[in-house]
Amino acid sequence: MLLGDLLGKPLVIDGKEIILVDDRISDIGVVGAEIDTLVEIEPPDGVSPGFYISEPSLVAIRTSYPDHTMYGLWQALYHSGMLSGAEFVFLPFNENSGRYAQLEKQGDTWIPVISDVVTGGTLADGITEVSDVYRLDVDPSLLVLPDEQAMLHRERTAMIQQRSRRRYWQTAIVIGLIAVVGAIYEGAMMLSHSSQVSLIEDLRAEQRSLNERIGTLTRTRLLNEPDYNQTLERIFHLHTIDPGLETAQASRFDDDVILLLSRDTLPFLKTIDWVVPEITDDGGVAVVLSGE
Amino acid sequence: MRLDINLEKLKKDQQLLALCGVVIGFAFLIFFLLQTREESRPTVQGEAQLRTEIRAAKDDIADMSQKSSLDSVEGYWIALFEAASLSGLELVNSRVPDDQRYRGPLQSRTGVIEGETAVVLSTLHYLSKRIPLFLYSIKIQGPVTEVTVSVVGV
Repeated sequence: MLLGDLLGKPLVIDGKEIILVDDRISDIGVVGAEIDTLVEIEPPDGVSPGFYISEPSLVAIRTSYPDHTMYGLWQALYHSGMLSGAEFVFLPFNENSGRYAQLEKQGDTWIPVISDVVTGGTLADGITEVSDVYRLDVDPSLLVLPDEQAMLHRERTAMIQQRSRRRYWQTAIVIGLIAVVGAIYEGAMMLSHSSQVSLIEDLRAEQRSLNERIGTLTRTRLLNEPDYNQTLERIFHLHTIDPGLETAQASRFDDDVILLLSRDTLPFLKTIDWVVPEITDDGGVAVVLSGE
Repeated sequence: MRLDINLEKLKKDQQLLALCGVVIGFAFLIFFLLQTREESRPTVQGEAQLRTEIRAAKDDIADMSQKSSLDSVEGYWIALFEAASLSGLELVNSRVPDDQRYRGPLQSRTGVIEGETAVVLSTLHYLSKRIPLFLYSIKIQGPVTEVTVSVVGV
């Protein structure tokens, strides 16, 4: 396609109606009043030298197409990977005029350096004939739209301010979300803690109540009933053998009951399996009954 | 080689960095505050221990409830006195050392029951199955026996 078919007219690319504008590669070589009217479409990115356009020409197109998105032609070609293969790439208006870009090969990559106007069949150096350079035939359907669009200075300023505001809003929202998540977490922890405290208090109250009940039962019931039957029966049994038996000092039911019997009872005592008779110093017999 | 410094991009990056810094700082602040709050909360422990103790207390109560409730200590004392009198024994409400009397949560009365040995032994054998009775010292000398007894009740 000729440049006249590409520039300043609505084209549908990627399903979107856009306008390609007559931009330039790099701002090197721009002099005089033109510098003040130059608008940056896309800044240099370390590889490309950036893309620029004269603001008055952009204003003129914007007036005709106020709602269309605009992109630089060289910018679009660069992002579509079409600027490669030769040192000079020519886009014709006709046989002798048009635009060209000078490329530089760095390794395997072609880097755009500058662009300029072709008039009278020669490039800006006045030597190279346009018929000797690579002529690029652009198929709009193969173009890839760049991220950055061409804008008037005031549009770009407004966009930057809008983006900046959006970033502040996004930051505020993230901070708000963090605060909300923190508050929810804290609330959940407080709830969990108070629930745990409440549970422990309930358990302690239950325990107090049970302990009071135990205290009441302890004061109204005989929990460990003593059993003296066996001891009483054995004393009675030994008393039948020796009605004169006596107890030793400090005989107690809750310790030992020591019974002192006559020596004559020894043969009988030896026949009783639960008796272990002991001869005392005075010749008597002692029998110890262990308490409960 | 051309040095490309994109002031707008740099400014944007600085803004992004600053905002990221603010977000990260805020996140750390919230984290720190939450951690401080968490640490300042008194720890709640002992639930398992309490549950174990409550279970044990309930078991104790169940066991204790199996025992029948006692009557008044005065009633038991009168029963003891009457039984002793009927048997020809003497029940003396005398002072005894602390180690020869009931010391526990129940109400008690202590005395010394005295009389003929066989009668004392058989009477105590009979009564110990019927009233809450604790026996302490026993003294058998000649035909006479003295036993220190405590009855308990409410």
